[in-house]
Amino acid sequence: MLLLTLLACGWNQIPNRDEAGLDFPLWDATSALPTINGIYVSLPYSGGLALVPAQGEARLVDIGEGRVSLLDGIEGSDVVIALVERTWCDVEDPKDLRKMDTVADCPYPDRVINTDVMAISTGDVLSTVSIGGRYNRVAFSDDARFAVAYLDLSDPNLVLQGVIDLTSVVVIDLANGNSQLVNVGFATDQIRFQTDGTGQTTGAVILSRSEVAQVDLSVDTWEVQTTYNLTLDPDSVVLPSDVELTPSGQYALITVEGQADLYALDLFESSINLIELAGLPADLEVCESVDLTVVIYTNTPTVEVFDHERFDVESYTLDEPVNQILEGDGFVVLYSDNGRKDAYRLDLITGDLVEYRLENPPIRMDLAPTGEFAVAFTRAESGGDGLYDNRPGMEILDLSGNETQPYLLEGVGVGLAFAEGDGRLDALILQEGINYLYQLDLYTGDAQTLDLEVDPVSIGSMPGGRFYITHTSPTGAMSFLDPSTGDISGQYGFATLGVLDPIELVEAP
Amino acid sequence: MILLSLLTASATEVELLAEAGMLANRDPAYEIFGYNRSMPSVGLATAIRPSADRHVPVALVASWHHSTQGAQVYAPTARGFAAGFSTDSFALGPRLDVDIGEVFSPYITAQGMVVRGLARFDDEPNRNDNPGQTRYGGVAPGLLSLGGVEFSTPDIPGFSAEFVWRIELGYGLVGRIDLGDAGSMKPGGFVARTGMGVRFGRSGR
Repeated sequence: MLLLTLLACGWNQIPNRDEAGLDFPLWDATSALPTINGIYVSLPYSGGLALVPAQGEARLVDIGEGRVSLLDGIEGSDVVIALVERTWCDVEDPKDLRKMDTVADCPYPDRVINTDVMAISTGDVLSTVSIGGRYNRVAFSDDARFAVAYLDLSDPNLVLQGVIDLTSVVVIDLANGNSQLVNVGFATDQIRFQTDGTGQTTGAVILSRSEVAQVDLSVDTWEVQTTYNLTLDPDSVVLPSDVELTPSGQYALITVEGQADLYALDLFESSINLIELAGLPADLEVCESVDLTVVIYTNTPTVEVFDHERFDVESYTLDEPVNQILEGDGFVVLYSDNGRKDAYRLDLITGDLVEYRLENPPIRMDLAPTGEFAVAFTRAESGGDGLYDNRPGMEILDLSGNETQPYLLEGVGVGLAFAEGDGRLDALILQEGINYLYQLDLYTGDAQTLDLEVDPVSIGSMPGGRFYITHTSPTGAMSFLDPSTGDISGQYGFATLGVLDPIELVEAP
Repeated sequence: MILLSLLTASATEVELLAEAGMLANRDPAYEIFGYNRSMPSVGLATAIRPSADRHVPVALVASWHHSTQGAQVYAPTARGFAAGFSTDSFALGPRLDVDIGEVFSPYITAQGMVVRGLARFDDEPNRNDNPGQTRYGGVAPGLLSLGGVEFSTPDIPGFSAEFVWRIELGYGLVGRIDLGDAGSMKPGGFVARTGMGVRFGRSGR
């Protein structure tokens, strides 16, 4: 009788008579960080970090008791940097503390968070620097020598607890683990690094509310060398929206919210030039190959190109405003993801401007690595009457001419990568809710589909020519693709690593 | 075979019971398997008294219990998945009992226990062949300390079997079950069990 009952219940089925709600997902597919050793992904529920290799078993990185709040990589290096939050409980009675093991045991107001910066390679922790306090962003210098940790108040997921210093950043020397608090101004927003002629980092330009600090990193004790005030009126607030350094490192070009001006900070002469723009800037791009800066505008159908000596301007009139810039070698592709259908190719050397008219409004556009094509994912157009208007699509822009080639998609395009080799240039296309990858040779138009086990989320390239695809599986799913052979292998369930290991409290420092 | 020979041995008293019960689990790691803070179980138990003489108040008891708890788990920005935790507990130990009248006998027992835990996760529970099924298993020792009462039907002349029903409460102490890379689990605490079955071989009182 008992056995019959058990069989009727389904012995091997997981019973789901109960429900559980988690505060965090098991993994964050958007945090996938490719390295030569595999893909690092953060595990928000368990707080951990997993390394998912293309072959072999996924494993946890031993970060100790804490939660990975940020994961970032250094380009051209197999080292990744993780910010790890460690929590201790600030209760007065030691008897209360003895009853607490995990972070969940400590009441919210009593939790105090300190941050460690960890350098990780091949799944092992190389070094740990404790920087105290609470930080949610890190900027790295190109030579991987320096990192600057700061608190980005614009982060919608930021939960503030306790007393927080809003005017300081932590500068970390990744070579020797030294760190130092530097006071740079209120609410740090963006950071750029200066380099010398050999590519070594010499300074950092740090944007805060209404001011910009230039920090000298070439000396032993890092300090603010120059502070540039973006306004002389203490009652007005200037919010920088974008910053780029010119290739020589002499100028920091800054656009600010709600202002039709370009701030050109001369970092050598410690002066500010204010340049009038054609409208409210939507985006700014410094093109290193031609030493020019391209500025486009939110509501003004104009693109302006500035040189970096006298900031002389070349202005080009467009049919529609654009808000996105893709930089190629000596040219830019401009488009709008704001419901407009025009796209443009502007040759920065000859000044030739080519207009492309898309069938549907693009939601995203990517430039092929050869610069010969741009691929746009388009959305269904509300109120459209044609078959194409009512479906998500894709358009290939041939940048050597002025033609576009539209495709209908089964689902909204969510992922795109390019693969080169053997005389082919393949676009690897993922669609939302569609279990295959569409591989399209942009030269010949030959296409094939590769089946996927689970709905895809994103695609990215790995060092070595492979590609990884993340999937919608809540317990973790990732595919690895060799585009030359079409072979796909999968890793599944890695997000359950550490799921039964709650984050414990650490001892008070 | 052993059981059969025990049943047929006239000098041995054997009980066979089907049981249901629960063991508390307050481990924070258990929260992902639902709001229930206990592990409901079903199982089988046997008690063997070397002598059918009830003046020998000691019996050897053994049991196997299978518990399973599972939930549909929801998290922000992700679709739901199934999570389940099951255990198989094997317990063995002596029981001290005393007869009060014909039908009622209170007892206490302490048993050593081996618990095998299995955590399972499934990203598509409606599919059997989806690759997103993972499982982590581990074993831990434990101790079971119970007190209870047993009721039995009065003797039926010429018939050697009796129906029994028992209920027992107590405390279960289980070591931390190492579940590999998933983490660990330490069930334990209040235990309640009840069972119904038959007893063979008791000599007349």
